[in-house]
Amino acid sequence: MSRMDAQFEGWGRLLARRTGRRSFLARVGALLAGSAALPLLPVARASADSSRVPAPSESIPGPEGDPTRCEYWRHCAIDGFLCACCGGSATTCPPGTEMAPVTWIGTCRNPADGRDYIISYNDCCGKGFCGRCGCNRNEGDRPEYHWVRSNDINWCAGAKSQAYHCSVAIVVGQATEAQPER
Amino acid sequence: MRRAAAWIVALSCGLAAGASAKVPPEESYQLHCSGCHGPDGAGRADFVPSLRGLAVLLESPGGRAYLARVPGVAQAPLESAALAELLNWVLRELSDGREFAPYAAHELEAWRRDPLRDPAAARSALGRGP
Amino acid sequence: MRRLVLGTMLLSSLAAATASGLEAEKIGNVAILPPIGDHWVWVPDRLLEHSLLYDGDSGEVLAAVDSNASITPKVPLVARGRGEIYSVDIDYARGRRGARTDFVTIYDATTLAVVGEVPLSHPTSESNSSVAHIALLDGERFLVVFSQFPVTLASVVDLEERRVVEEVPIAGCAGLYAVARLRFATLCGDGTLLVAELDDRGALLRTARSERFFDVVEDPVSMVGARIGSRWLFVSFAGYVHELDFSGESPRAEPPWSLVDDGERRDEWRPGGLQQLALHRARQRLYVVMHQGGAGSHKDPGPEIWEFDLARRTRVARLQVPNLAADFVGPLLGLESGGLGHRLLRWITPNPGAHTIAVTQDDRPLLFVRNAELGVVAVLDPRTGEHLRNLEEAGVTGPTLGVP
Repeated sequence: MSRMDAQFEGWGRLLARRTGRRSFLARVGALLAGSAALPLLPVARASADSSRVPAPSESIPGPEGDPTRCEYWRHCAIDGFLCACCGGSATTCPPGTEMAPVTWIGTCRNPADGRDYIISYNDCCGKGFCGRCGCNRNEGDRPEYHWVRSNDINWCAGAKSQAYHCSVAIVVGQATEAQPER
Repeated sequence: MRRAAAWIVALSCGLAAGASAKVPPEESYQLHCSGCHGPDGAGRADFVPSLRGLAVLLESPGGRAYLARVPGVAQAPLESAALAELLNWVLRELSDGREFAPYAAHELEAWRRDPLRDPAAARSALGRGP
Repeated sequence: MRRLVLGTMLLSSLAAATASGLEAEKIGNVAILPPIGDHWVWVPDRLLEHSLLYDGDSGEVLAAVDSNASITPKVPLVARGRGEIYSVDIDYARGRRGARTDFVTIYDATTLAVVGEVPLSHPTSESNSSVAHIALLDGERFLVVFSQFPVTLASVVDLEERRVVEEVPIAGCAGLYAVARLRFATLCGDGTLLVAELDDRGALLRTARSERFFDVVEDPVSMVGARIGSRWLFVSFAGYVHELDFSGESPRAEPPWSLVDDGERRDEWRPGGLQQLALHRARQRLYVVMHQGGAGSHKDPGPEIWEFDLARRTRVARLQVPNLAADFVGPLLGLESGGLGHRLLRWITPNPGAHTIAVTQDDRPLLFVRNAELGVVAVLDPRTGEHLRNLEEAGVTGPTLGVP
């Protein structure tokens, strides 16, 4: 691997949709235009009106603590657009969508305390694609025949409309251990 | 935090790699069942069956095998002993308090080798239940 | 009078133009498709909601087939003998809400006119790739469509009668794989494979299952399979090839073989992607997109495509995936393909690898290579690895490719 390739190894992860908040094209555009700084710092949610976009209260530094990032600790097996970028939050659907009542559930490790938590990856449904903050991480993901741990499935299946808009990641409990599929 | 046991597990997981702590059945339910059947087992009308009143199925001939062979149970990512504990927990806590003969691991071990590919037909054949 | 003069002047100036240059052209021409070519490929796009049909030799687009409201388009299926193309579509009465209908749209394979429709009574499955959600059985009489929720079943569509004639319950299983004229298979979450056998009217006769051949928790097989004759090949996350033989009464899983040697396994070389397998039947070559990564990397794009001789079960080549990012951005920036700017871009832009491949079945095959996030498809000669050309402006994002 050339030095250039090695330097940009992280970009491979970017395009695997496991890292990065902005689209690939936006980043390439920035690079080509000469701006070397890649946006790596989390963006503070400026909204003081928490009822509009309620966010879970955590204090984890860096992308692992930012619900608008693929690296957010709860997104260890997320597949889709992040509702935090679409008018919702990690725990809330955007206005006018329906949170699918049927979902798949897995565990992710929280870097703040080293514990595994049980995450419910509900989809928000009834609108077309949000199109922002697309991520696909697959820790513990399994194919569709093992639906309990499949993030591939369109989990809007149980909602009134199966049009997929974005996904949330809700902590529904603390896990004694990580899920069996690792 | 719920219990001291969970604290000890959390602290020692780095030291005891490979030692799997016993997962309580309510947690197994959450991880392997609640996504479809709901946190309280109510299911979703016309979409996912309710688990309430499930115990009555065991009174039908074939009912015991049926519950063990539905794919959600038979294919659950659990050893049969843990699966038996989970199934018994569901029958005890989410059903309607009806008495039932708890499942033993060896029963599940046998039945789950042949999951039902047409659970709806098998369910109709049982005739009774919720 | 003045109008007549003006009219005459206009006519005479027109006549002057035509007399000296272009002939007047007819309004209303609509192209038709030639007979299906060996080097054609469907390129589905999630955001543009269609599949484009490309000629892999010329790089030109031949036609488009819409996929309506599906979150992931299902690759259209071509029935050469019937002269038809099938698209399994979803529609909502109000765009993305309201009453949902699922149906098979039947197109004439020459004119692409809609010649029929088969309503489906169960919601068809949708997933990140929708790979193996539909299958055309050998002989082109029956099309099977996978539904997962609320009831898991395969709908059997009789293409002669244009109606659903059977629903095969397959709870706990997913994916549909054509095995024979009247048989199809599905992968089940207990680590087995189930075959359904139909009678010649499409009614279910019986099912048969394999022994348990994979562990769903430890090392599951991807739903992306590859067929050769009476065998289907499935590859596990850790890189083991499971060959399922359908020539007998029940499907039989052969002992698995590994795509990687011990050193490569230590270096974490694994198959991965969204449609990471392709198989050339006559040459008996299996192509697999490979990357380096641990658990959780099974959908990551890979920088290499490894070619295996199926008869000897050995690797015979490692093909390099071209830089699809540079080749996607270059034209957007107005850079000439192959020019200095484009070559510079290829050098400085990290290679994002590929998720998806497909290979044609003729004796001068083409290998199509796609990254699901980019709107360009590379065309390689699989015999040499040479990057022949690109299919450009191939959409924005899509996980699959389909060679008719």
